[in-house]
Amino acid sequence: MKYFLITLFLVNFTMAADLKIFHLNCKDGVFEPTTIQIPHGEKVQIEIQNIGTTAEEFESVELNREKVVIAGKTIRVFIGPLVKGEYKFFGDFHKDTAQGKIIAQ
Amino acid sequence: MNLLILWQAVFVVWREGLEAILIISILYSYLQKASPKALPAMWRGTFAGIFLSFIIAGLMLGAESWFTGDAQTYFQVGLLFLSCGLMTQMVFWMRKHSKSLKKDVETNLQNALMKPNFLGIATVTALAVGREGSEAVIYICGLGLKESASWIPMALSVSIGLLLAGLMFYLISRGLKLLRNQIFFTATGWVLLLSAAGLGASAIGKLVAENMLPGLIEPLFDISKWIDSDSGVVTFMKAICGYNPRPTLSEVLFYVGYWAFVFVLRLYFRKDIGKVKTYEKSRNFSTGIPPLARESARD
Repeated sequence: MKYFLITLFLVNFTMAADLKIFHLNCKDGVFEPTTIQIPHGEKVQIEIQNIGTTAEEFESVELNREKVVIAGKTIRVFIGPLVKGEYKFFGDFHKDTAQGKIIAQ
Repeated sequence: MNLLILWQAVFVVWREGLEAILIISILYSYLQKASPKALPAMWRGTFAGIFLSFIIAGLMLGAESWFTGDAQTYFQVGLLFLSCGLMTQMVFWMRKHSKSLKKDVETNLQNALMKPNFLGIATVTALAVGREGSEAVIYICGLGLKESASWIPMALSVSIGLLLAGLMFYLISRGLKLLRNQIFFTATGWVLLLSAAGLGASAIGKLVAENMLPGLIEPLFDISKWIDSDSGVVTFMKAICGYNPRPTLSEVLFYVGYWAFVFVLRLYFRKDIGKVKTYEKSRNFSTGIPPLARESARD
């Protein structure tokens, strides 16, 4: 069991530098692009830049991510490895308009 | 400023406050029943929490580099673990305390053992309010900067949001009052433990999300397709127990470990309470004064 965990630890703990980076902008309640395609089975990094004037909270219930992006700032979010499929995300501060999805393929 | 933004502001304030309101209403109802002396500590904690929200928001908005990125994550994770630990400690204090309430009299021994956990209560409340409140403050500040000319409608919508939060607090604490004491004490204890477990697990989740801790198996299982993530039930479950439809093995390990720890503590405290009971019995026997008379004599 112990060795199993250690192996898992080593296999899973990829350094941030090795990860593919995807970009996502948010601007006052709109995400650009609204769909991000990422490879499945791989941990990736998503850089979210707030180019608007209001704060936003990037949130995804399905992916269990929740992070505030202040206007003018950039944050990074690590996602995956995901199985093939669609994963919704939204901006918690503009829930009506800020919607998007990540497609793992 | 249009009506939609106003409505949004109301909604965000209310939603960010949900978790804090749940914890405060439970604590309030509990303290009212069991330890009214500690109520001021709770209210002080609430106000400290509002203050804390502004400090956290200020740090996030103001401090350029050091409080964004990793430092911010460590800070949030620290707050989550602290809340988890304090909340667990409080539940065990509550459990002990309510056991002693069942007796018709409080002996001096119990008074010594059951000193109201003022600092703990204040801190738990302050952290609950501060954690979520800071996000609401950041949101409102962002809106305020954009719509700089319209502070009045902004203040109005924040007030409505707070009022809604207050109404919810009132309804929950009223509802809880209807429960029979024994059910009440048991239920509130479990709900707070569930919440504490969720806080701890979400701290682990945050570390995994930031690639600071391996998730081991990501995810261990996936139930996101079973329950619609947009539904109100999910919002509620997230607020009360840190619901995560796709947890990693690390989170699940923490969760299981936490409950194992709780059950060990329960066994330990059960023994402890047993000792108090026997000690009391011998005291009652030796004084020979009816409990009520003794109480008034002491006061």
